[in-house]
Amino acid sequence: MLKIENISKGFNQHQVLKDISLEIEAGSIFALVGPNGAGKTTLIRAIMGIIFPDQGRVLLDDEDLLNDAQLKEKVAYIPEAHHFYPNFNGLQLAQLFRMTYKSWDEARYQELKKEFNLPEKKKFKHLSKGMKTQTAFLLNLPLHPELLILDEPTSGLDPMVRKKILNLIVDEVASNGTTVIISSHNLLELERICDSFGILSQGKVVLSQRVDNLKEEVQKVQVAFEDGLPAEIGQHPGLLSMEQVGKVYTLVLQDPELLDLINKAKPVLFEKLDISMEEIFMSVMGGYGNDQ
Amino acid sequence: MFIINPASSTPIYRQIIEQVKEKVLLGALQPGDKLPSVRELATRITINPNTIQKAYQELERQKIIVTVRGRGTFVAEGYEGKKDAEQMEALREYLRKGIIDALYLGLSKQDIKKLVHQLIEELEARSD
Repeated sequence: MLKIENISKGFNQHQVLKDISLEIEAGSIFALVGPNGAGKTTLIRAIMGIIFPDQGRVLLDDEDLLNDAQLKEKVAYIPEAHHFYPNFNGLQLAQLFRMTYKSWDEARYQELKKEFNLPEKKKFKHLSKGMKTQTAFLLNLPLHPELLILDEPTSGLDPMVRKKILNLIVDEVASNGTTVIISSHNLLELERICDSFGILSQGKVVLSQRVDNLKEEVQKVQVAFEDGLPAEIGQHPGLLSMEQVGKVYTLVLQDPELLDLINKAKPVLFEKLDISMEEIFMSVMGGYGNDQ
Repeated sequence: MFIINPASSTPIYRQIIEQVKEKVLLGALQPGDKLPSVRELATRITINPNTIQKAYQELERQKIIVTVRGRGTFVAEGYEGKKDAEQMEALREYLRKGIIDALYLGLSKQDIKKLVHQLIEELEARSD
């Protein structure tokens, strides 16, 4: 279990992370989502100890991660922009990892190497984007990390490589029980593979939940009433968003009480619609924007 | 084998449960048939293994599948409908909602009964 407790971080006068607390269950895939500039990468860098938070702690299995070099060996990080020595080839990079990490599993490396089939004698800087990402996975998975942090792992990849990377993540979790944190903008993709998520906005966590629960809780319905939308529905705090075309309202609801209210108001049209995480995300963010 | 729609308002683990049940009822999955392991299925359809585990656990609880340690997961032998009180309640609620939808569509009591008969006959015909 990874616990992030009250993390705050500012740069100069600008407060980037404001009292962030999150709990991420062992063996789960956690999606960190939020608009650009919400603080996702800063939070990841704070978890990794690349920057020190002004306040707060990060606990991995109840031990303080930030000041424990041994514990940090259990954490692997694949940033969006790869930071390997550009003039090293794949074999040299593997040798570097082999010499650096005690946990390096040569058999796992050989197995992955066969699977990826990358040009191992080509300098890292001459590899394509997809090959660079695959190299990063090839080097990090043999460490058998307990926690794997991925910043935009599939951005800019072609569909074939993307699928390969996603399956690799899923396989890693299934076979080793690895805890994974993924930050991404591709919600449709995340929806398939994550079991919980946190939405970050302006340095704060605005919503953190299991995907299944959210799907059962947040609903999208299309309704119409003879005499327009009753005010008690329109002004209900559990109403996340509302669109109107003529007499037909499309509502996103977060409160089952609203369904009862709708039922009682005898709608002339009532239909449940599918809702994606992306729409839920937009509804939550929209509602949040209105408060400010 | 499974068609998952991540954008559906039905959570993914419920989609898997429903599809396994449907395949068992239709006879596409026979008692004793082996299901893919959690890991196999997770990578085949690119879905979180915990989600698949959750679906399998629920199917096991409902005695539709059995897991034999070290051998794998199989469709249960001699599956018969067991009227679990909690599930009956859930089913009632499910049907109730469907009936409400039907009434809103303007169907009469007779229309609904006819539709139910028709659907059962269709399912029976397909499983023969």
